[in-house]
Amino acid sequence: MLIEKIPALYGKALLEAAADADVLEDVAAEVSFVGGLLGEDADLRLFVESPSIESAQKREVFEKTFRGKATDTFVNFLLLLVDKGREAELEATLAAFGAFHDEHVGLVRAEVVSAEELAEEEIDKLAAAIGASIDKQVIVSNKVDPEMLGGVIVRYQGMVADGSLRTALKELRSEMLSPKFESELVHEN
Amino acid sequence: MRINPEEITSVLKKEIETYSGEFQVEEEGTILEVGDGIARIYGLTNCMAGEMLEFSNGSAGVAFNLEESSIGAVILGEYDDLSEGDSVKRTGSVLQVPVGEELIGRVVDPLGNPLDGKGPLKTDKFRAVESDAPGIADRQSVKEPLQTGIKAVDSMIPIGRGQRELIIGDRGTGKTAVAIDTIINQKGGDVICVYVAVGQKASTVAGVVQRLTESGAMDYTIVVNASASMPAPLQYVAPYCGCAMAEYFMYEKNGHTLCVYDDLSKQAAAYRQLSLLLRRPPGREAYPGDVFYLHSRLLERSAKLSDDLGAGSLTALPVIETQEGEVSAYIPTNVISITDGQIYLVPELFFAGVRPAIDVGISVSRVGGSAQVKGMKAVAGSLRLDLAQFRELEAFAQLGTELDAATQRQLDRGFRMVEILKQDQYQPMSVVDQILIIWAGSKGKLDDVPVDRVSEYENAFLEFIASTHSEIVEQLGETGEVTEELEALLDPVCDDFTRSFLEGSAPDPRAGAGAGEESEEEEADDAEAENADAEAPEAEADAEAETAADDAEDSDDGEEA
Repeated sequence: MLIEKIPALYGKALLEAAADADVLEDVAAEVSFVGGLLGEDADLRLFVESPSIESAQKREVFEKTFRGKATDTFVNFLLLLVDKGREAELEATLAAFGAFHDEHVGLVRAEVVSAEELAEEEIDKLAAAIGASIDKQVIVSNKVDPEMLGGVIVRYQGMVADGSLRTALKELRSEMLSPKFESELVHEN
Repeated sequence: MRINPEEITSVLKKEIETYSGEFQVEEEGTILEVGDGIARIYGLTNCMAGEMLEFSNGSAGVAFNLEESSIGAVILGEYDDLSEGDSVKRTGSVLQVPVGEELIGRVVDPLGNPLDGKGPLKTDKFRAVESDAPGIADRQSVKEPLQTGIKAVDSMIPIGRGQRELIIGDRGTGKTAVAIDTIINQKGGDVICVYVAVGQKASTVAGVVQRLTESGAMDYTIVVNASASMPAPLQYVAPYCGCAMAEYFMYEKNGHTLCVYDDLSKQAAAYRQLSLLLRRPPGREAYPGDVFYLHSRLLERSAKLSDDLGAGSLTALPVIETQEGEVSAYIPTNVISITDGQIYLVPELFFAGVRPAIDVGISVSRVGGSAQVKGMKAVAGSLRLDLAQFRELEAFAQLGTELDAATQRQLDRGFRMVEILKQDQYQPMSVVDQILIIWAGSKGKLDDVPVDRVSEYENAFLEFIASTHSEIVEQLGETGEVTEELEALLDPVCDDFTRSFLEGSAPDPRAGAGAGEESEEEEADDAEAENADAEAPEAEADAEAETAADDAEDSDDGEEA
């Protein structure tokens, strides 16, 4: 994942502040909750990102909604973003925080692409297998792409292991068309 | 060949049964932006500079810029169907091209994909496109001649095997013709030729290929084509690919090779495009700072290898196109300084009918002299100086001043030497023939022959020697030396021939001159050239008349009228 400069700065700061206040896990939960909310609720996103809404108004809404219900660190972080005029970066910042948090606790997220949705136990098996190979705890998310016909493609940390049937067939095809193969044919005659 | 369908099926079946898809973990990045033959890629943190990449559409790429959070890469192939977010894989190897005997006679693109419709290349040998030039200990000095078959070049600007000789000139001065003639002249020899066309019209390249095929030159030639329609990265990389294909024969087969890069100014322009798109800072004429290295590392790969390494050679004939004769532009000066000499072609001579239009005054060969055939060295030794003096006298004579007999003789000799050095396109000449005619010219055997009949004389003389005095040709061919005995033998023969040529039934000189001076290919260079041609004989005829007045003893002038 590409992390832009500004979200990286704020995300890292939030991580450190939360760790100092010893509320890291709470903040992480709040971040993923708000992150999910932003993705689902278009009105909320519009409210946060629109520059035509006064920052005082945004402050007030954040204060009312979160103060007391969320950790002070997280509420203060939201208010800081508004003060600095960086509220449009909220989603990216939360994503950056998530990435830093994963790294902090030694968690790796992997994506498994398959032709059909995988069963829970298959995902767990894959997670265990990948985790064993890189010696980290792995969380696997499943993505479905019927065009790959069969097998799985595993992606994590910028690496890819392509075990899809489509790729295998493609390779077989190019191998059969290769001059090496043709010369063998002539040889056999 | 009869193929049983069942056999094919069984082979295919075997292939399917033995197929084992390799499942391996690879590094993957994503495209941030793509266009104009370059891509910015996020990820691939372990990617190395110059490493080959594989795009999701199958195109190859090369990592050029390794930056803090992204990689700048060039795409060698199609990029229209790539978009942001597509995946890019590392390959772990540098860019390679197929090499080997199978490429001979083929027309390929820079990556070795066939363009001639003659089926796939059956080679399993590959060579890195970028490789180090041989070092000091791996080389020896240039000592064998590479005959171009062009009188003006072989006599005055000799090229040795392993040399880098630049062909430079304005558009339409016959640069490619010199290179193609050189390739054609290697017929029957031991030199493998590689013709790299960069940024040229596909129709031009097709014409060249057809010409080479007709001359039988494709039997030992590889054509690498990166025409103007191909993406700039392919045009940039083409000379290195051609060089790698030639290097195979030099290093692995201990053979002799000739590489023509036609032309490097277009390659430099393609590289400038890439560099600017990759946001490398522009320098003079907007070329990037490493444009000198672009050409120096290519041309340094030409070499005459030491005996320990098999004594193979790679001769390079880079071509540079100048604008309005501007040799002091950035790219021409760079390449002039890297090469071992240059053949300079000028439009003035070209349109005056002197073809090849080589300006002898500023064309040089810095190392070829030691590789020149001895006989040629002996007969052509003073040619360059004589011609230079002639050019000065010619300018002087145009003022219409009275000239003394000696000056007039020198002038006459000059006119005939210029005439002798003219040569039609695609008609390379053997070194023996070249020595014979230049010997005759420099000994003054043609002084009495009218200027417009020199080419006729040349053909008849060489034919006469070959048919009636083959021992001279054989001896010259074996030793390559013009000994005193040989001269003693040749002298009376030549005099006899000249006498009979001048006495013999004189054919219509106009018809003779017309046929000799204009080949079919050059007819397009219409009126201007013809005017020049028409004027020249007139001036020469005047000179002829003066000679007659001065030298009363000359009895052969009768046929002048």
